[in-house]
Amino acid sequence: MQVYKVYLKILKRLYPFILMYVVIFYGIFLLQSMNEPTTNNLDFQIVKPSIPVINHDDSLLTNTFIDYLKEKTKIVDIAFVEEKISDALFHRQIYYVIEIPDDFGKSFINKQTKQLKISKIPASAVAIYVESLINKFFNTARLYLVSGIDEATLSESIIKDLSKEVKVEIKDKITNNTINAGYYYNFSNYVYLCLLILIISLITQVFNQTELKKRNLSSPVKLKKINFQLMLGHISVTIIVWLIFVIGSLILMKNVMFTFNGLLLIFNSLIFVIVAANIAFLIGNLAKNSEAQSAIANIVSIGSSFICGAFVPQMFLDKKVLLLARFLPSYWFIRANDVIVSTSKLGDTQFSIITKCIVMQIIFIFIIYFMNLVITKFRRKEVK
Amino acid sequence: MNVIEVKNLTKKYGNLVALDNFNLEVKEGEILGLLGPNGSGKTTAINCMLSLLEFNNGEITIFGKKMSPDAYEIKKDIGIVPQNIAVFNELTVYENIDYFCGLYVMNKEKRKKLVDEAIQLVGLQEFKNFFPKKLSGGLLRRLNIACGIAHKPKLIFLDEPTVAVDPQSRNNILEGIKTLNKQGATIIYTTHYMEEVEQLCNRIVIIDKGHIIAVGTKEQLKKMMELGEKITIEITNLTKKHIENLSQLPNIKNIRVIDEDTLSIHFTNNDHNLLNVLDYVKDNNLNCIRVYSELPTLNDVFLEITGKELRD
Repeated sequence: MQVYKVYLKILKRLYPFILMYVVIFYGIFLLQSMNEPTTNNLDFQIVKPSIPVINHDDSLLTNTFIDYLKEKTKIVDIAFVEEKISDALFHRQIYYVIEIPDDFGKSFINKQTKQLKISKIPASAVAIYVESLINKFFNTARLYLVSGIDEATLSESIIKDLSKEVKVEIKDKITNNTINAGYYYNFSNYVYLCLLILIISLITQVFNQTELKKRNLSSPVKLKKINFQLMLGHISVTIIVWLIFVIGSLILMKNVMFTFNGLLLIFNSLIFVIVAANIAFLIGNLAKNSEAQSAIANIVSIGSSFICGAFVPQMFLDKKVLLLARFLPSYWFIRANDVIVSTSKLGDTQFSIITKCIVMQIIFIFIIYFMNLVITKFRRKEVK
Repeated sequence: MNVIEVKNLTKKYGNLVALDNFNLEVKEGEILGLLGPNGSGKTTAINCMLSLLEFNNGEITIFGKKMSPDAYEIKKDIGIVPQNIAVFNELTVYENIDYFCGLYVMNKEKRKKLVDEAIQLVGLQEFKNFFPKKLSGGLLRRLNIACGIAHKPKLIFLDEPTVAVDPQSRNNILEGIKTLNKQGATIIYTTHYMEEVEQLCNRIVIIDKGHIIAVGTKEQLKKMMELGEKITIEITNLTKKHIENLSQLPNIKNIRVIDEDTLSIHFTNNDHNLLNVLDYVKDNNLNCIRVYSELPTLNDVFLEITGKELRD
């Protein structure tokens, strides 16, 4: 096992670099996690926005309407001075103002076209919410009006209808830890590529040096045995690097990682490190010297991390960029991670996407492995 | 007994014939010098013998067995010191020698002893914990040799081991090679330094353009070329007549005019040639500035055979 022992000795010399990458990774991850909001962003709470209502009508329908609004919002008094209303809207003190014109109720019952006067901050959440309340009230009223009922029955029926509530229960709750786990594993794309390219391609390059190869080939150790020991070294490194970050995730996010989703994240990362190890071996075989190796390593790790969504989430990336990213294994690794952390209860749709992503990564493993075989054979002939 | 027998070896790189019907026999216990200019086919011959290169035609037997890439039993007794430095920059001197020795010797204790002996032989005791990048060119060459010979092989290929080495390291390396030979190793030594071959080798094979052009001991080669003493003389009033008269002196092989005042006179033997030349100078009242006599070197032999200098 001389070759394997030397492999480990060279690996030992690379410890400072490995440590540097690990520290940078966890440093960035911890900073990122500290910046995450502490509340769960999917929690639901009813908010009552303040709505000034200026009522010039005193009909039963408009009073019922105001009573309905009071249940859902906070009606505030405001002086009916147009200038003051404009100022309050401009300074975002209020977002929506309703002015009910004289005889509005009567006009509505008689199906005439008198309208509410509205002043609002366009596209504000409050405006959208209040508009939905108004539409809901008057659409219901319009429905009852078709049957020709009187105003009192109409008001009573609307209140009865609109007071019905549906109980909503949030069954799928995405916690901060789940989001962090997604971020952790997406960012691990960069560190896996960086570390494995640094180690595997460098050691491959060392053993590929023509003169060293000649020395090994003229020794009584079979070429198959040498290659097996090198392969064993690559596998050891891949497992060590993978375990460092998996164990880290188990410690930092144990409540997520010990769930089914967490285990899927781990499995997905295992497939990806195999791809990354193959890429690293390919670079080691292709690069002519350590400078070229370093340049290729940076381009591959940083480039693919950027365009595949390791640094910036895929949802914010341009469609054309994502189209290009589909030709890289990192895209499928990150896509699978995103789907895994998108819900705590994975359904058939999610499973089919995750399976597709994993299959795509396995296809990449075979393609790169085949390329490596061809290059290794070519290199062997080069020595001869 | 022949350790190596090469018969009709032909190696082509495309249209270029690197070795053309190359035949060689290496006897047990000898130091055989493969002498030839750059590109003459020395390294190609060695690589073919080690099965590192596929060849077009011929047969190679080592220790009486046919050599092939998977002749691992034969490879156990071979050591190779390649022309270029072949060590791990990531390992120390000791670790490098231990690695290459470990490819041949599994026993850890035995290996430790062998590695220490190799370090001693090349004089790297003080540097055994150094990384190759910290070593000078000469020390690196010594490390390169130690990596190839630590397992005490019966047959050692040394491919130009002293290229770009300082005189101190060169002497150290040459002494080491002599010691290895004394310990029983058969050595094939390629170089284009004639002095080293003259100093080290029992037998010399001169190669040019993939052909063996002469084989023998240095004395045999010199005799073969009828090479005797060489006298160089510088005369200020030299004329064509004088050159003609000098060429009539006894034992003259040829006279080369180096410049208008200097002649190089080659003799077929070493009998009183200097006295004859000086007598002629005195009798003809010639104005001699400088005169000196040298014995023929292998470079003269090479020059005689190929018409060119070894380091062309």
